[in-house]
Amino acid sequence: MKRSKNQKRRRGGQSVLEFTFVGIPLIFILISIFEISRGMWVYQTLAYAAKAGVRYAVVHGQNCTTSGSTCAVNFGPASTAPSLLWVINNAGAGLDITNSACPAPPAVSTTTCVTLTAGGTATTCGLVVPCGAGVSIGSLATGSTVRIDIQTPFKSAIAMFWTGSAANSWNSVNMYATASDTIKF
Amino acid sequence: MITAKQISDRKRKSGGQAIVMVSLSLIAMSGMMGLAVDLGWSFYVQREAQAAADGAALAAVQAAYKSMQNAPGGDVTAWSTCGNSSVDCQTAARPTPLTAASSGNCPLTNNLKAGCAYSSTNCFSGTCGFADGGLSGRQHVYLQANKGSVAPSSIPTPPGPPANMIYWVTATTWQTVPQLFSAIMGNPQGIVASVATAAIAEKVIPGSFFGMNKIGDCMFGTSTAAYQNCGVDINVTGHGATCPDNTSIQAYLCAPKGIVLASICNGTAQAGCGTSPTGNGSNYAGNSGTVWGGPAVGVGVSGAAGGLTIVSSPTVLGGAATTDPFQGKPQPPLSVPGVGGAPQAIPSCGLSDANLATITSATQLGPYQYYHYSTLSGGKPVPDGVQLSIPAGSFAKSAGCPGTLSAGGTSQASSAFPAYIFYGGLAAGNSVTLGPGQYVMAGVNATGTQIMSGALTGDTSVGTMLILSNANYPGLSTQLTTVPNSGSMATTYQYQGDVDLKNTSLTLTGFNKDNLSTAIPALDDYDTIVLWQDRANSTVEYNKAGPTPACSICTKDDGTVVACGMTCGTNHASQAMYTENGVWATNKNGASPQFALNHGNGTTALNGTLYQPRGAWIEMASGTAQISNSKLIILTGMIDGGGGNSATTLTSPTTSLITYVPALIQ
Repeated sequence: MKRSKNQKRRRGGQSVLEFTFVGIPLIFILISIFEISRGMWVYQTLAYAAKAGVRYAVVHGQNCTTSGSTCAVNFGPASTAPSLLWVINNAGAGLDITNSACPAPPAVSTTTCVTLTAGGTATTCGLVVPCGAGVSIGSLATGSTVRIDIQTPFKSAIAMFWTGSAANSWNSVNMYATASDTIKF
Repeated sequence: MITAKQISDRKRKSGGQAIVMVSLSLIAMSGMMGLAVDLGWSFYVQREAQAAADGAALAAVQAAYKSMQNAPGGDVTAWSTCGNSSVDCQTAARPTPLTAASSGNCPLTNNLKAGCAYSSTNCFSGTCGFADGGLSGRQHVYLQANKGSVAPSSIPTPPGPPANMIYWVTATTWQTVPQLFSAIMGNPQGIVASVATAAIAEKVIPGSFFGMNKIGDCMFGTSTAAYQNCGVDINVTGHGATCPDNTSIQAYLCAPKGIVLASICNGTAQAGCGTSPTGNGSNYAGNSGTVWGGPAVGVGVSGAAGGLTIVSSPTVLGGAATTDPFQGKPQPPLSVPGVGGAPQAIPSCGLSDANLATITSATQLGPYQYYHYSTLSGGKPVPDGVQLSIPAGSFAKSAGCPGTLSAGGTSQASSAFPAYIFYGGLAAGNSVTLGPGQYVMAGVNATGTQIMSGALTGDTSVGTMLILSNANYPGLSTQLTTVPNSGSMATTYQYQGDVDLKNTSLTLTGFNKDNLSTAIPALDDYDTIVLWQDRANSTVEYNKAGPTPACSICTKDDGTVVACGMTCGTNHASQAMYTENGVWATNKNGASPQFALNHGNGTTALNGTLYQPRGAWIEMASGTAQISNSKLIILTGMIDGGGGNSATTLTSPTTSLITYVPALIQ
């Protein structure tokens, strides 16, 4: 009886040890599944938003400003339809919309920032940061290239295991997505 | 004291705890995996759906556009009356080849079925089939079309659809996506949808000066140098003049809306560039002359050609951007085709009736055909191909004259823009006013010059359109056979002569369709044209590849290749041309495709579009020959200038070059 009790105690310690050996990686894997899934979700959203923005831009080019057409749109602001940022904001539901400044690329931002490269110039705006009309898509001739780069901070629990600097701090990695096309109309 | 039972109870309890924890985390994990897998898959499907929608809408509109081009006269408005039509791709039969559109066979759904075929081959394959064998699956494609005057409801306002559309097609694609993991969260099925709209819409072409590379736009003359300047678009020298839109620029060519050159000749040896003026051939502005392309308007800059100083952008050299915006477009049709009429009394028009004759057959075009005659045969005049001379004064404005038809005059389909045909060309008096209408110079003496020695002032409302051609201009060759005694008119009098301006001026405004009292659909595509000069009345023939090595091969606008029989090593200007009817156009001479401003004070003030397709060119003599202060868009094979103060100083055009293109708009 005594021996049996001792055995039990020993086994109890074993299970704690086993839990320590197996449980911690297991929880790590569990969190990783959560976070990677969430990361994939954010990236997909980001890529889709960039693609939707570019698609909207290429069908509202220079021909939207001539012959009495009034279908031209501007880059921003995101709060007013129709604009490129408005389209991107709608397509990118769930992206980080912290109201902080958007630095010019390649600097890392602390909120979702959109960079439009068209007609040889790059303009950077945030999704909620107050941002003017920016570039008129209607000034872009057919055939010219439109490129949209989006970056957003992805605050992930698994990012705690490595350190970063400045905006790219320990709990945040930046995700990037790019889409590019030529003006169709 | 812990009993064995208690221990086993605890064990049992903790075992239950694990199941609960795993179950709970499984639900959450399923949710997360649902996000990643199901939504990820939905994004993928959405992208396919968007590609299918884009392809379907564009293909359906392209099919309509093609049929418009095949319509008589290439009338781009052929589908502007086609009303609402729609096709569900899952029940549609396969498309049959589309024929030329006319108002009688629309609304059409056949072009929409072409859209179905594209969505099927692009992305929504297999399950987006046709009624005759496709699977009816989870994927759906629905196409709806209407004329441009009805706005597509799928485009939100603002910004709304573009103005002046001819026709549009909206493609809606959707697919039901069964959910794998999200189903656990009570979401067994999702729907992914995409929409795209394509339209045949107006497109504005930026640029003031277009230099195109056509096989015939080599310098004319008797030069021994083969292919002299063939690939060169600009060859100018002299001091030029001050650009009206930028007085700090002294330039030979001022083109404030931009310069577009098809030429890639930069002074290095390459096929098709010829040997002049700088060894291997290059675009050239010599002496103190420069070429100004205006401020940048967003057209890319790809560098200047050797020897040519182009001040400021935009300049485009080579590449797709330099495609002839009117490529494939035939010569302007006559505004009054086939309308007969009674003879018109000439003397009351204030014209010199000794020089004029009208055509009297009621089966002919109308009363507005003129030719010079010097003898009578059987009481009827015998045309002799000599230019008509009109004394100074007003033409087509006097009572009883064409353009202002008096009571008892002939019926006229579009009195606001009649067609006047001059067999032999026209030599105007000191100051002649032209009424609104088309003025066709149809043939001249082989050694002669088409027009014009006097000052011509045109209409500023509906406009004046000059067409320089020969007697084989479409429609005129059949008209000519009914000209009395035309058979005795030697073919050498049916040549296309060059246009030579000397000590004169042209003040003309191009055709403005908006000011017509009655629309002329056949001319819709020729808005703003003030002067049209084909090379030797040809609707085909230039070689995109340049004259070497394919100097005996020509490429038509539609891309087919024919043997055009150019003799290698000779001056192309002296070569015969192959016409659209498959016959050799021999009634021309080497100078025929030339629009020349001669020595002296020849000036023009032209508003609109000067179009010289298929290899005609502009020649400026030295002196003060100028295209001055013209709100003009020039499309030409080449501009060549001889120094002095000769210059082409264009100001910003008030109109823009417009073409209709099939394009995605949503």
